[in-house]
Amino acid sequence: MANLFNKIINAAQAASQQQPGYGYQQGYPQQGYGAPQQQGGFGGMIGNVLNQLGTTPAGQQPYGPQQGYPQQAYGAQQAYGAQQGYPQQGYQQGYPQQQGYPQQQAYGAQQGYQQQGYPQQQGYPQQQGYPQQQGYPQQGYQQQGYPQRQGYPQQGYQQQGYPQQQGYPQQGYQQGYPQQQGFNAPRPASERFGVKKGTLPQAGDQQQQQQQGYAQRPAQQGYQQQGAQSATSRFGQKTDATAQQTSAAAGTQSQQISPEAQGVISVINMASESMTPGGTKSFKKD
Amino acid sequence: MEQNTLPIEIIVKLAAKTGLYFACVDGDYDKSEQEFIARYLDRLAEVGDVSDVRYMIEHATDVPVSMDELVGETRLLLNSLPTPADRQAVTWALYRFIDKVIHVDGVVREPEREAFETWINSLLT
Repeated sequence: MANLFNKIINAAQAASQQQPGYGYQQGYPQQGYGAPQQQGGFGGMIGNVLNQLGTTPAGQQPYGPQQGYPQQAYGAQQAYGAQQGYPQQGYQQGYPQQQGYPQQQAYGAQQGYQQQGYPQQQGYPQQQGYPQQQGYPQQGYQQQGYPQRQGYPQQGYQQQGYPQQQGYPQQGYQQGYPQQQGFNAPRPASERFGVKKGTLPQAGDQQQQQQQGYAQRPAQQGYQQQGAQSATSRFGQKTDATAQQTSAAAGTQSQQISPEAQGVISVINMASESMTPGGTKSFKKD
Repeated sequence: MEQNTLPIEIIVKLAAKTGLYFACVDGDYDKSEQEFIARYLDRLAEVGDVSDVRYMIEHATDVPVSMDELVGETRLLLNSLPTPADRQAVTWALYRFIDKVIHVDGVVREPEREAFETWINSLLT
């Protein structure tokens, strides 16, 4: 019988070479598992079976509940979205899981990631405080740097640049054009502030604060990178498992069917063909 | 997950049992059963000597086949295949085979549908 099996295998291989679309190869991987639906409404069910068989032996549950998977995994991805602002690069690179399956196992880790890997977030005044950095120049200026403005621009200006105004409302104004320059001083304001550095140490302090704030920024980036790396390393384990799943799934689609399976399928096809002589439906009740 | 492939006899017999089970699930198909067996043996004979399995196939259903037995042997077959792709492909072939059997008379009756669903679900659990 081993000889028969070999002949069946050879026949199947020969047939598949002669007819590229022969048998299972035609409808199976390419059409996907949705195709059977057209045949009788069992497609979804057999699709689950086929998907399961793609990763586990028959009758065994594959890697826990796949049912709950997509949502959870996607939730995790969303959680990553929050981090997109930053470590996107490191993250995305480090997370092939986003490609699909793996997230399931990587998921727990991802959760852990944000929670554990990002205690920094909690201790990350920077992240939350970041907006301050963005809004800093303005807020900082307005709050601290511009108090001077309040205290200055008008009073000081008028005092210095427009004393003429008092005496020369319009003409003096025109005459005192240079003062308009001084008036447009909002630009030179920086200069004025520069001058005021000396007189108003607050401004200088603020700038220093900004610089400090920015100095922290690279530190944060570095920190995130560390976090990302550590996450990657932590994920390394799960990524391995994930990679196995992925490779299994990918392999399922691209992997060639073994000669043994081809022989089995040939036997099944023979039985199928034998159900109806000449390919017609003649299997009738007595 | 490398395992030894089942002997061809088991595979040939399982295919016969599967076809006969679903062909008979909604009635008595004695004559058709014989025709099916004969054609099946002829098809096998086109490839090689089937004298070793002829008797076995001809008497494959002397004792009524149960769904549990069918599923058990199907799982055994699938688990003997070396790769997930193999298991998927063989399951797909079996699925199409059964689908053809229950559609062979143009009507899918409730017992056939139930049996088919049972078979599919049994492979999941």
